[in-house]
Amino acid sequence: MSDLIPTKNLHRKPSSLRYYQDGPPTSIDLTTWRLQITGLVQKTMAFSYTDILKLPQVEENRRMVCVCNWSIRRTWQGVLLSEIIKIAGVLEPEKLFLKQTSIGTPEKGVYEATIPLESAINRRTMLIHSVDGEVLPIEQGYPLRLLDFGLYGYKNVKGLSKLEVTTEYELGEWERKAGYNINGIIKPKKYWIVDLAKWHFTPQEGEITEF
Amino acid sequence: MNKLHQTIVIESGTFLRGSDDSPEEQPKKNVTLDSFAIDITPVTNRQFRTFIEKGGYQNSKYWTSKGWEYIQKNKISMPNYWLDRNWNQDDFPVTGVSWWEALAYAKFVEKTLPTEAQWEYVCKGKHGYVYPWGNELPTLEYANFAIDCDPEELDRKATSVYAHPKNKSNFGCLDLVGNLAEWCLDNASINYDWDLTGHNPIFWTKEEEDHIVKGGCGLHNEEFLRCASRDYYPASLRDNLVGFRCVINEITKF
Repeated sequence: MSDLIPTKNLHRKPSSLRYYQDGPPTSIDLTTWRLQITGLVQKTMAFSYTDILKLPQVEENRRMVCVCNWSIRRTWQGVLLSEIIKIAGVLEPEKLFLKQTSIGTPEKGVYEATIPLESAINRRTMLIHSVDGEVLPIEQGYPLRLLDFGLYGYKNVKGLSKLEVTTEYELGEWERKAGYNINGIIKPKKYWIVDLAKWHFTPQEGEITEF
Repeated sequence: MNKLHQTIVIESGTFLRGSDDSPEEQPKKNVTLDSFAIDITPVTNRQFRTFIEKGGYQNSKYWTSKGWEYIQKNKISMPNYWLDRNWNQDDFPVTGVSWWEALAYAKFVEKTLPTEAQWEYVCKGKHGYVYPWGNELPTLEYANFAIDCDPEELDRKATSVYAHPKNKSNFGCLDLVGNLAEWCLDNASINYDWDLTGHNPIFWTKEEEDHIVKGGCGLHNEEFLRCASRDYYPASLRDNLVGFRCVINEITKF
């Protein structure tokens, strides 16, 4: 791991960085938690937290963007989605989607979001267990969350429990609830850059890499 | 009732649209608008209730074909936050309405939605102010907004359209910025290069594509409160970020 510089300005977090539609769970027992890989895979699998940590690890400094017009660049640690997909075995990912389901809570249920599989792999989507060198706080998705950095946050599930490879491009929570786009691609807009404490207009869609 | 009731007539005029503050607000251009009338306040829940009670959601004549298809497919018969006390008080601006619901309501009251240029002119006034009230930076006394995009409470709520009397434009419109952003007729554009004439401009692609909203909301910070600031969302958006007000373009017959 590199020497990490803590993300600046985290003391002024946009509310949606704290927002957790389906939780957060009050506690998670890592001895029983599993990430289920199901659906159109050659091998249905269940990864424990230890299994995840034994996979090839990546650390990437990248910017996530919320549809509420803010963004934050942080250093994320985890495994690439492509690694999991390779192990489970998926044929023709260009025709398939990935449905994410959260652990959720008895009171609020689970959160679901579905994304195109091939583009997620091509964008080096990560399954993240740590940020800025620390284990993810529960409000940010402990023990594991997915981030496709080309898509808004609402397409990326915190507190993952299942990844299902499917032919169905299902509406997720915020698309059903409030009419947001199913594709969730980050749009050219002005965003509040939390780590820089300033506004910045980005002229192209997709992952923001220029600052 | 006279349709000009609770509206302000804006005489034909020219103003400098855009700003130097962000690329999507450029190029700046002198824009000339014909006369129109605009609602003094955003459409409130009390006003919108009439549309519901008169069967507005059940009558296709108020809807475009795509709007009608959208509410039928999604079984929509009321705004998304209609039953939520944080958003449904009589004098709160109606929210949780898609662009299509806003347009249908406007047709119901024989009005339409403002173009982005109309909205910005009403906000800047004759003096070209940065904010509706002038050039002083906003405080929470002026508007319902979130410093650093960090609302004081996660469980947000709207405020009455009359709650911030200082949030009044030179023309006399209330609650133009903060609280809820407001749907405009225009589709989204990433700058104003498309506007070659500067006369009654409107950017239009397809109704089902993203539409401009202006004014910012209780989730966004002061940057979105500038009259020239721009944002956009899908026509289908029904989140508690956006409301609307209406305009009448043919005012000579009243």
